[in-house]
Amino acid sequence: MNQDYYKLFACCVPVRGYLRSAVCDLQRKDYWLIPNDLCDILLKDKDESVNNLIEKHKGIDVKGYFEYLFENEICFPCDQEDLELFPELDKQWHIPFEFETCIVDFAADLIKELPKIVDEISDFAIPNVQLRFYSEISQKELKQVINAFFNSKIKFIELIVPNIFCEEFIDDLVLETSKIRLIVLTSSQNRGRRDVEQATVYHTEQVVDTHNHCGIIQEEQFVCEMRTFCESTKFNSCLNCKVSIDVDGNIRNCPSMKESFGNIRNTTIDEALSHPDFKKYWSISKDTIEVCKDCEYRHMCTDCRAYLKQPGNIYSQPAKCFYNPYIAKWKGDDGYIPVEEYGLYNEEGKFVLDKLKVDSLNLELWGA
Amino acid sequence: MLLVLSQSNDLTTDKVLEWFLYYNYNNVLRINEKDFINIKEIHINNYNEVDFTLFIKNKRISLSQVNFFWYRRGHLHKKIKLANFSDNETQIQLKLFLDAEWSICRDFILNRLHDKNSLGNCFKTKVNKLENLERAKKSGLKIPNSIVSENYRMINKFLSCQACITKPISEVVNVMEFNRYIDLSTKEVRIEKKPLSNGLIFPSLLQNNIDKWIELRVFVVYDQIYAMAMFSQNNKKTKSDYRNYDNEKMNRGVPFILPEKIGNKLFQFMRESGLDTGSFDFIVTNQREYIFLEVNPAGNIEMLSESCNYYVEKKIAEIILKDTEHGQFIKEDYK
Repeated sequence: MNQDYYKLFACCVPVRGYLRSAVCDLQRKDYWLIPNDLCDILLKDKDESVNNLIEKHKGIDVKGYFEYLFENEICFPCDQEDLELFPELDKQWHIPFEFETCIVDFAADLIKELPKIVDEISDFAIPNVQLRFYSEISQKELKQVINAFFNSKIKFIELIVPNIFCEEFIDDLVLETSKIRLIVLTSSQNRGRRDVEQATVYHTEQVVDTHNHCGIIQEEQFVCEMRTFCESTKFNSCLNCKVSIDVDGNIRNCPSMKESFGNIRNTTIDEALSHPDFKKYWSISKDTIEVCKDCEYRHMCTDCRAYLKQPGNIYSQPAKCFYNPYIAKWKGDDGYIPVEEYGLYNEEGKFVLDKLKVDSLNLELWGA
Repeated sequence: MLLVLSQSNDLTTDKVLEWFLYYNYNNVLRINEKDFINIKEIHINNYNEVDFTLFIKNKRISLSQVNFFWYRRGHLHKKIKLANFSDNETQIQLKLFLDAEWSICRDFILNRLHDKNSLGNCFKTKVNKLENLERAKKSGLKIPNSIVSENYRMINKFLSCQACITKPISEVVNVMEFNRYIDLSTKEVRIEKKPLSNGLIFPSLLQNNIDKWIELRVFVVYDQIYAMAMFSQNNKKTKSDYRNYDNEKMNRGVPFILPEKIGNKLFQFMRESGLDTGSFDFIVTNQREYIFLEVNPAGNIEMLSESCNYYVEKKIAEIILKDTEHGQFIKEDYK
């Protein structure tokens, strides 16, 4: 067997960015950053032998590239006849629910509405619920809230709450409530992460006292994984299949979104969700968002449609994203310059990049 | 009504049932292996069609209500309580007798359920690897050269001609020794220079170690094939059996198109064995020969479905729904 052809493992999907690209490894939940010329080979020269490619792209170290790809098990060597045995990944995405996640932002007087909220979420067969508390809550009250959800059809519970608890209380809570999968303890003394049975418990010093803390785009929150990736190719990475109840009881797609579809005190979730605009943002995929569509991280990013660079433009970049894909620099990196200094949104809401300026900066930053 | 027989911890069943609910089909009864079953009546007479009525989880269900039976895993169990007899031997004999009585009723019930539209078969879950090798060969599939022997000299002779592996003739079971499981999975074997003390071993299965390019896991449901290629040859831990998982560097598992020629032989094998679903293991050699290893009629579907993004559970739900009275509803949604 000659094995001088190559095939990408179907779970390794190249995502081309403006300056560099990522290969998303959806199986091992990781990614590699690769140069664009290599990404172009992977996207366009799929069925050619490596030797041909070495000939074809004389200016590029194709041989070195492929050594790297084989070494990291991104590609495998094969024969020409093998190529047709390995189809590309079908990037379909489905869930057997209309809604997947419900966020409930709790304030003291919303706890009164608890039975109604639990009932209605249960009726919709929403599997995941995220409970967020912005002010301190007693052990007793927290248990009361969690038990209400535990005894419902909901499958998984996530919890974000200011940390006034001892480790023992949290451990017991997780043990007693098998549905808890994630606890984020805000306003903690220090940062940390530990696994307790089925759940992950994070401590953070960050103070989270309103929903305004949401929407920050951070590398640590990127998820490179099959379901997230496939969902992001067709739907919004944050808002799809989500429903929320804010601290005042308003039913929204997400607590930070402007549109309210009624209040839980006088509207049923069913009524709110049947509003024609409720799902308005669900199909805004990352490939259709300005700037993001040029970003190599777009299919692992959390996105945000509530806080936008251009508040009225639902296709503009998240306001709290501090990555510039045109120069591949994060805020804090040497040479970081915000995206806005290299382009402007035009009247149609499209981001127009000053290519000359960016290219000359890149020459300075990264060389030829 | 759709009747499902499974085990309470089977995730595949959970997922398929979620899809039923999504498609608004609620007329489902799931029986798990340990559920309590009570026979109200089984009617076999000269006037009517055979019918039976059971109480399962306090629900009354009769044969005539069932339009589809999905056998996924497990069995129908009956807790048999027996009064205490002074003679232990009597107790054992009576227990055996009652077990036998129950098993006849159980098999009759299951057979009538299988007469309906059904998927899976509870009478085919016990695999006989030797039968299957023979049957695969008759269906035109290539198989590893295999011997079973308890004769030390025979085994060494076989070993001297080729590198070999050994694996259980039946199924891997968990045997504990000093708080550790004894590893009964597939192993490479070499010639022992010194014969075992008494020269005797238990009848053991040896197969020639096949030089593999990739391993295949092929799930078949009726006429649909979902195949996954596994690249385990680069990894020492998983070289002889991909199930020796390596968690740090998970073996690559990617969608694979089984050549039609092999697929047809597979269907032939299934017809011969009376299977309408199953998970097959193959090796593809460096020479691109497809070697049948074994079949598991109720194997793990989840790993293949997730790694290849196949949504097999959704497909199973759609296939079953097409065969129930709910068929019309789903058609619009069926892509």
